[in-house]
Amino acid sequence: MKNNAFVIDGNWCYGCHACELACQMERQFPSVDQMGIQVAKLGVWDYEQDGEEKWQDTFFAIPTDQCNSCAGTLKEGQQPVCATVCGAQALKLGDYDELIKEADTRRQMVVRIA
Amino acid sequence: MKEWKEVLEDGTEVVRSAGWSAPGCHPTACGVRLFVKDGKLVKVEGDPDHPITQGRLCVRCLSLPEAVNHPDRLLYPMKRKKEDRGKDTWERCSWDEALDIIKENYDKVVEEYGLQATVAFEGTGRMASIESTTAAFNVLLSPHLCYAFAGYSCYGPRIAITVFTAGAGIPEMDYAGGFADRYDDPRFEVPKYIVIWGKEPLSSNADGMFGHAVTDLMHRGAKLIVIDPRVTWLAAHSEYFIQLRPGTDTALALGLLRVIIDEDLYDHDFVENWTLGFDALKERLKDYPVEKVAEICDVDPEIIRATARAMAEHPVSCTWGVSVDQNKNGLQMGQAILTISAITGNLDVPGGTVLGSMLGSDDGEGRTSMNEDYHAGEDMQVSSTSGYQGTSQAGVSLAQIKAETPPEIQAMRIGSNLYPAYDMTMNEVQPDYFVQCIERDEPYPVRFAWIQSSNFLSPTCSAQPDRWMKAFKKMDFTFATDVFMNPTIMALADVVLPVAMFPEADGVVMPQYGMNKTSGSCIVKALQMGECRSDAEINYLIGKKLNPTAWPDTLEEYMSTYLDDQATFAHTDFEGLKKMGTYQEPTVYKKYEKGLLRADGQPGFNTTSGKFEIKCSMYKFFGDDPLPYYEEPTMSPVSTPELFEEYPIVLTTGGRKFTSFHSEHRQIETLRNIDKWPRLEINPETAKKYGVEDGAWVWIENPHGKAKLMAEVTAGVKPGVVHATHGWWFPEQEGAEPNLYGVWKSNINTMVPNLDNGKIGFGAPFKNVLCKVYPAVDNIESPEALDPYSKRRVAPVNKSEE
Repeated sequence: MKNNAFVIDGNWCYGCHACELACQMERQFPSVDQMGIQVAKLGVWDYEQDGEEKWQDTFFAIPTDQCNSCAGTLKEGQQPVCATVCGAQALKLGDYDELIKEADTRRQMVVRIA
Repeated sequence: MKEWKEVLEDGTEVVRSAGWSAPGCHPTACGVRLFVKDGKLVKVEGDPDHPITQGRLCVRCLSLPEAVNHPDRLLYPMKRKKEDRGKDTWERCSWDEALDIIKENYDKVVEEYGLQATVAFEGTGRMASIESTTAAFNVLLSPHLCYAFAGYSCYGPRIAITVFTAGAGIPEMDYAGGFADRYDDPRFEVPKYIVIWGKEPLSSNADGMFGHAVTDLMHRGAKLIVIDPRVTWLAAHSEYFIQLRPGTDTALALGLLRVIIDEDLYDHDFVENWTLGFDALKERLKDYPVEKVAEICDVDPEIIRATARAMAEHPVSCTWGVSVDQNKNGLQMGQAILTISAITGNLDVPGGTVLGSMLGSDDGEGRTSMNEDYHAGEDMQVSSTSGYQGTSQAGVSLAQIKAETPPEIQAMRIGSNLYPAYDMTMNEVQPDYFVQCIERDEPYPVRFAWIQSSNFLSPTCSAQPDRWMKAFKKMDFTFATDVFMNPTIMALADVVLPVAMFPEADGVVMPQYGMNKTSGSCIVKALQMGECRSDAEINYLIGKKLNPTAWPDTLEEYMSTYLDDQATFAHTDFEGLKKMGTYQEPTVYKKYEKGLLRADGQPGFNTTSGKFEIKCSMYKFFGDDPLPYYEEPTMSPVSTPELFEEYPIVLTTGGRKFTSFHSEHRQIETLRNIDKWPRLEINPETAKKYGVEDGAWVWIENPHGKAKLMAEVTAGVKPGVVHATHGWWFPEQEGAEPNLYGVWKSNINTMVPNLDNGKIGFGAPFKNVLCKVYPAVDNIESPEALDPYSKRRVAPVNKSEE
């Protein structure tokens, strides 16, 4: 199985930045501005749908170019630190072909990193 | 992690422990693996085997190595001349010398003014908070313990109203924390709805409840009902969201009750058998028709009706936040919220709102059962072990200390006659009143203070902190215990002692400080930094110095008994708990049916009537209305329309960020990189009206004070409402006065008046005052420092000064 993609679940990410910091601690980048994954935000705004007020307030944690999928440091079946610290369980590293089958609900993205 | 310690091939020790502040958080006990190499903390990981947190960690624990190894840490005791207060002229000294100075000054003040001239100040959340009663009553032998939080506006009101209505420990949403297989345990039920009222548990883990449990339950099908003036992520993902005007929560709660009763959605069996005062409430609710409530709260009446119907379903769990406390009408708000849970049959049921028991530990040693103090009738007595501390982790190991505040000194506590309810439930002095007593030397002088882990000059807890600073300069002697130098210590202290962070201390951590037991974890000392000592050790060292015969012979002897006593909840000693890691205590539901809430073992609630008291019998002693009622904030568009013309915006404060624990973490670069500056959330429409641009510096100002923050233009607050973040000071700036780490620049608490409390002394308007907003010409790094003594343009309104 290849670790060549992430499922990023916009249903659950609430922008706590834990993945960013866990990655920074693991990888020891030269500056606090650099990280292997970064949280992006959509919203906040409100809109009407079927007569109800809805809110757009969504986060996605997106791997950066410096993400190396923790290659060489993970045991078989082990998830990288960004995924294990995630309080909302919104990240998963795995094989693109497998993940694309799993990511079948709204606001889920599969991002290739290799 | 199965063992408490393992050693890796390269010699790195991995120690299993659990998180608490300092630095970081409430007593949430997140499972951590501390990696220590050559005596240095090099990395932190979440412990996947911790039953509650399961490997997950937030940024505050992830950045722990940066905090522990920070070059600005206080690692040694330091002293300074009294006349140098405010100047950065600290000199390192030995523990022995520091203790000598403390004793010399203590003896002098006690001789001249008496024991009543001493006081210990506590802060919030830290491990120190379970040591503060010992510090005041067994080390200093003082009648005064003070939490400088105006109206005890954090936790206190919620504790008090739970005692008044149910005689129980703090209630919490059911997250199956006591069950080994958690949400899968057959005794547990996933709530249909979780009510999140004035709270942001994801970023706060408030009171030690692991906030991510909310998303765990959402994953399992729970829907949310969120009541908040701000659009939090949870609000945006809720089924029902009531975005009310700040400070009007009590009206809303009464409106919800009105719908539940009018539409006959309540649990008749529970109401008939287990409650007191239902008919009186029904009568009271005639004053709160839904349309009127909707107008007060500035929301649609239909959302109130729909939400009330959802709240009457089963099971519905409720978690309430600090918004209950930061409101002079908060006791009534808490009373109404608890009543909703009770009459809908959702109190203490699986997936409902679970009550804590107040019966303390199995052996009861060192603790008293609150009911005997509170519900004994006309002769209510206060002892040094009463108060909520008497049933929490605090005061657990008092048996080995042969000194306590003498009764005649205890009887001299300032303000106990004016604030009997506060005195009895919190066992502390009412701070709004106390600061005034320090200012005036009335009824007698207070001249010796211990500031135990509280940075009350920064906008965390005290109202009008500038006033506190001025009053405190009168102390003959002040010493502080903390982990970093901060504005409060720089301005006020003569000696500072270095406190261990949690990776450097042994201890025990329990959510809700043990008042709603589901689990407790072992904090294991993994390393030593400088000459830092834990708060419990500091109590011993100072106690032994001041009263040598009253304390055990050695520190080791004291600590070993202390730690074993703390571990008794897990039916083991400290070594046993260390091996166990986390102990879980399966939740028993419907404790009121099983005689588990009362010391006499009888079924019922631990109240005068034995019922859940919708109409509180206790209030007849305190002089407040026994039924919940709504009261407008003192300063509001409704109560002060003239003031509202000049200050046309409602200011609410204190919403939490993941990157800080109140005033902690401002020097942690990784976290400051995420949240660099104090922010003011302002609606786009309001921003446009006052010429405010996103990312620009703005002033907020009212008759009490002003503060400069960076605007965050967002639809997350309504037009006409702004939200300001709290706890800001700037460790990177000049520490000496007048700048004092920039503590007066973004000090939003200067805008919150002192003594604007509820009738019996609880609550303060941190979440509901008025202000105006205008652009600032310069930024926060400008050299300008505000003079805290002269910036007030209009005299503040104080009840007692009228």
